[in-house]
Amino acid sequence: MITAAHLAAEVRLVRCRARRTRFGLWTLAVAAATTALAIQAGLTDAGGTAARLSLLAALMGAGFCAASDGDRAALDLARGQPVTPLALAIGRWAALALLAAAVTALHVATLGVAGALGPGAVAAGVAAGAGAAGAAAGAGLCAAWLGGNGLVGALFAYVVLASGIPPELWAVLAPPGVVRAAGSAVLEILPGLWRYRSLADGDAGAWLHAGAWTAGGVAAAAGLLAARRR
Amino acid sequence: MTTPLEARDVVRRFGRGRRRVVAVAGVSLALAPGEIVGVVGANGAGKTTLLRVLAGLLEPHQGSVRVAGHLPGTPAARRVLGFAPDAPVFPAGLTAGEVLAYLAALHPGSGGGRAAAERAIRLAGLEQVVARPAATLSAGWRRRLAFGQAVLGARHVLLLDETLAGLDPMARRALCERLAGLAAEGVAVLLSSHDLAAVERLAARVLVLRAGTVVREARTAELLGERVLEVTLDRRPAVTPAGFRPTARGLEMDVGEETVEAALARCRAFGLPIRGSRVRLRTLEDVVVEALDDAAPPR
Repeated sequence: MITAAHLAAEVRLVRCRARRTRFGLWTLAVAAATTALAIQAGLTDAGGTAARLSLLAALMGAGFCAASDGDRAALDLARGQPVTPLALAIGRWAALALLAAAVTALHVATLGVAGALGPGAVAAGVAAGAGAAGAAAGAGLCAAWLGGNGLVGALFAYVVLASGIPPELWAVLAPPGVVRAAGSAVLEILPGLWRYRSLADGDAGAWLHAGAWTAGGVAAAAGLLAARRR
Repeated sequence: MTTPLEARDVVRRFGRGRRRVVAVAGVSLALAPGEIVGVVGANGAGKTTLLRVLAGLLEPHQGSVRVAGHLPGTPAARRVLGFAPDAPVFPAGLTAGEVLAYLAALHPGSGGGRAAAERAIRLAGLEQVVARPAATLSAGWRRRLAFGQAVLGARHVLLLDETLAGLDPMARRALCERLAGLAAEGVAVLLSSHDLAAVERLAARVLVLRAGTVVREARTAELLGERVLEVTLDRRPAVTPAGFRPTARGLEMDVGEETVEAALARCRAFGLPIRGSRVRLRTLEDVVVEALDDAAPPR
């Protein structure tokens, strides 16, 4: 399916982007800002902050490493090698998820060193970060190969601006009708902060949702790649 | 032995309804091991689409393609077949060497791909641009990099789309020699090109494509063995006599089975004011232009 050499090559590609484009700088800036805010607010629960940073880092990765016209056109050369679309999707997803999870692990570890979190909370935060990173990388890759930077940008904006609102609160805020129903559906379906902040608590529903986006996102991205032959 | 590449009645269309364009309209071809076949034709003749279908990057709407017995587009077929596109796009932010290393790593069993990448660099003559960002390379270097990724691994079939275009004469000659070397090792090559001199030099067989159809197919030696009589005239006749083609300084005609004297006698029979004459062998350009003219719909 996917070899270790292929996975290493995808990680190298994402690492090169982080070093040579604004991707690395932006990711570091977001991570630093999230860490500073968490320390200032005296956070004792890593769930929310880890999930937020993971979601943002993975989506920025999708935007900088998979979504541009050039990146999507370059897939033709990769498709010309003896590798399946599924392996290509898994490779790119894994590289994006690994980077986002690593940044989040560093963030949570920093909070632990700063004394804001205990060892248990650090471990839970790292796990939550990994789960959210997997889901966001799946969704981000799918969006990148479907609609390019526009769609990834929209997903990023949703995560920043709206994904922290639980559907119950939305039901109170939004007027009855199509807007309420559509908003609730979006909040339920898309990867979002309100759901993934409970990953750290081991919430089964949240983990199932993240797992579904991981598997579904990768499968859909592979399908989009395969469909380019038609 | 399995045929390296075989296509039967391949049809590929684009668009729907009134906007439908048939880019490839029933092309059949087969490549033998070690054979270099040239695909020539005007812009929009369907050469690139044909190559993309053969490479498995586009699905044919009708017909079948087999790469060493495998369906195109499958990993088994791509292990055997390499495709160098006309306008390659490389992952941004990577150097030429990193692009090849990345793509080589996608080959299972390549052990990380370092050796395969180094061989590709050598074959494509990319040593001096290995450390340069692929996105900033000139068109000629980009085509050489595309050729480099096509020869990654142990490919037996190469599909090259205008790979010789935009190269300086030295690079072009070096690449032609490497292609001939690969063919001598048994690699089958399908070379789409407007560079008819290179095709004439390299290809054992030529396909002339027009509106997605093969309008002429023959061995290069047969095509080029025919003699042409060129006559320089004091003044051009008002109407070009049948069997003659106008040139810059007069007319020309295929000598065919006739003697040169008999051909000159025909010129005199038309009362042409001949100042001088010479006999030359046909070039591939003559053949292609003639094949395309013959296949053109009447105006």
